[in-house]
Amino acid sequence: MSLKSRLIPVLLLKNGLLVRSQQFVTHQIIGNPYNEVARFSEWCVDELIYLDITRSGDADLRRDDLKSGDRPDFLSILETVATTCFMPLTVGGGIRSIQDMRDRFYRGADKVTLNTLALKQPEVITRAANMFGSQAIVLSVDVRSHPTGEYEVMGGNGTIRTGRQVEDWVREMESRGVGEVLLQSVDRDGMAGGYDCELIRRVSNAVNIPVICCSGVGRFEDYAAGIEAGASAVAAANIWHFKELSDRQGKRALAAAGVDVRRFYVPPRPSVLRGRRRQRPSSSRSLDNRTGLNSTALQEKGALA
Amino acid sequence: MIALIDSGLGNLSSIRNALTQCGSDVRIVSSASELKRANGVILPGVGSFGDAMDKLRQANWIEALDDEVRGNEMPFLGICLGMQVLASHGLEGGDSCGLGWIDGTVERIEPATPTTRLPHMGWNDVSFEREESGMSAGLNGDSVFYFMHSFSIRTSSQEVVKGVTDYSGPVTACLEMEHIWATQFHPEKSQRAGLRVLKNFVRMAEERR
Repeated sequence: MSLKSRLIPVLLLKNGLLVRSQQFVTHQIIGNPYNEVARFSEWCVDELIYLDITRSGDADLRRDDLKSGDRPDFLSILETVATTCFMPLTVGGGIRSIQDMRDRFYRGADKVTLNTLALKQPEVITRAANMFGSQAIVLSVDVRSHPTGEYEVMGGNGTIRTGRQVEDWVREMESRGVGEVLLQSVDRDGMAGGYDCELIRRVSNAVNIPVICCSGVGRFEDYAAGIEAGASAVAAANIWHFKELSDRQGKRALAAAGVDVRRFYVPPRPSVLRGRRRQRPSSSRSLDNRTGLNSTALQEKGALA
Repeated sequence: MIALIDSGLGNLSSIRNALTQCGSDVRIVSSASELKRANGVILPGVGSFGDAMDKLRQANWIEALDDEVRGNEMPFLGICLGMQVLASHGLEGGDSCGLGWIDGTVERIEPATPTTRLPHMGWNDVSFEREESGMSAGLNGDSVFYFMHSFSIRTSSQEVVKGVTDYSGPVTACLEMEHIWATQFHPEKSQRAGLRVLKNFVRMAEERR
C-alpha cells in the first residue's frame, strides 16, 4: 500500500518521425509517431514522455515510407496521440510561452516539460505553475559532468554552457513552483552504460519534488540504481525500441531488486480478441475487450509477483 | 449525454477521449444553460482552489450545479480539483470558500518525513469501502490509480469517503454520496481501472435519468 516507483518510456520526435538519440547529437530514425504510443498504451505503461526535438522545423520528406503524414506539425500529432493514450502524458520541446503550454494541455497533455524557457525566462515558470498547477509543470534539465566532479546545466539541446550548478538550478526552479524534474545527462545519453547515479543522488537530495531520471539505460538491470539513488521514476528511451517486451522486463528487473512497482499488463493476443468478439457481438462488449476491462484473464495476466 | 464542464481548467480532451472509449456520448459545455439536457455532469480541474472557484463563479456554474446536482439529483463526477471544490473551504492560494457540498477543508498534504516528496505523483493503491458497489464495482482488486496533487480534502464526514490512499498518512482518494461522486485520482489516466470507474459513472447516469 504505497506510491509505486514509475517506469517511463521517453519518445523522441524529430521532424515528425520518432528517433533514437546519442549524446544529443546523433539521431537515427525509428518510425512513425503513433505506433509506439498505441503499443505502450496497450501494455498499460505507467506514463509516457513525448519530446519534440525538431530543430529546423522542416519535415523529413525523404522518408515518406514511414507515413507520419504530409505535415507533421507537433500539435496535430499530439492530438492524434492523445486519443490512444490513457496514461499520463508529458509533452516537451519547443515550448516558448504560456500559450504554447495551453495549446498542449488543450490537445491532451497532462504535463509539460520545460527547459530552454526556464533558462531564458525563469519568471514564466512561476506564472505557469500558478496557472496550471505545479503538478503539470516539469523542469527538464540537461546536465554535463566535468572532470572536476562538477555538474553543469546545459542549454540549447545540450550544446550551450550556462555556468549553472545543477543543484542550485533545481532548487531555484522548485521554489518557482515546478512540480517534477526530468533529469537528463548529455554524456550518458544513448551510451547504454547505466545512469549517472551521483548526479541523481545530488539532485534528489537538493529538492523535495519527484525526480525522473533518464539517460544511459542499456540493460533492464540499470533501472534499479536510479531508484536507489533517490529518483521517484526511472525513464529511458532507446531500450524501449531495441529490446523486446521492454515494459514487462523492466518491471521484472525492478521488482527483483526489491523496488515496489505497479504490476505490468500483458494484452490478450489478437487471436483471443477475435474469438471473443465473435462470441459477444455487441459493441460495448468489444469495447470491453479492447481495453481489457472485462477480461476474466485480467488478474492472472497482470500478476507480477 | 454526459456534459463535461469547460471552465477553462484542465485537460478536457483526455477525459473526453476516455468517455468516448467507454461508449458514452460526451459533450463539452461552456455555459451553464447547456446543462439542462444532460444525464450527468463531470467537473474536471487543474490549477489552484481559489482560481477554480473564481472561474466557476464568473461563468455562473455554482448556482447551476447547485440546482441540477443537488436540486434535481443529476449524477455528478468531480475529478481532482473538481473534487476538492466540493469542500466547504480550501487553503490553496489563500483561504477561499468552496461549493460546500461536503463539510471539509482542502489542505496541503503534511509531509511525514523531511524526504516526503510533493506533489503526490504517480500510481498508488486505493482501498475502497463497499468495493463491489458504486464507482468501484467490477474492479476485481485492480485498484491502483494515478494521482497528481499536493492538496487533499480532510473531512469529518467519514461516511462519504469511498476510498483512501496512503501517502504520508491517509489521503482521501474518492467520495461517494449517492449520485455525487468525486475522485482525487485521475480515472481518465488510470487505464483499465480508471475506465472502469468512468464506465460505472456513465451507467449510473443512464440508470438514474
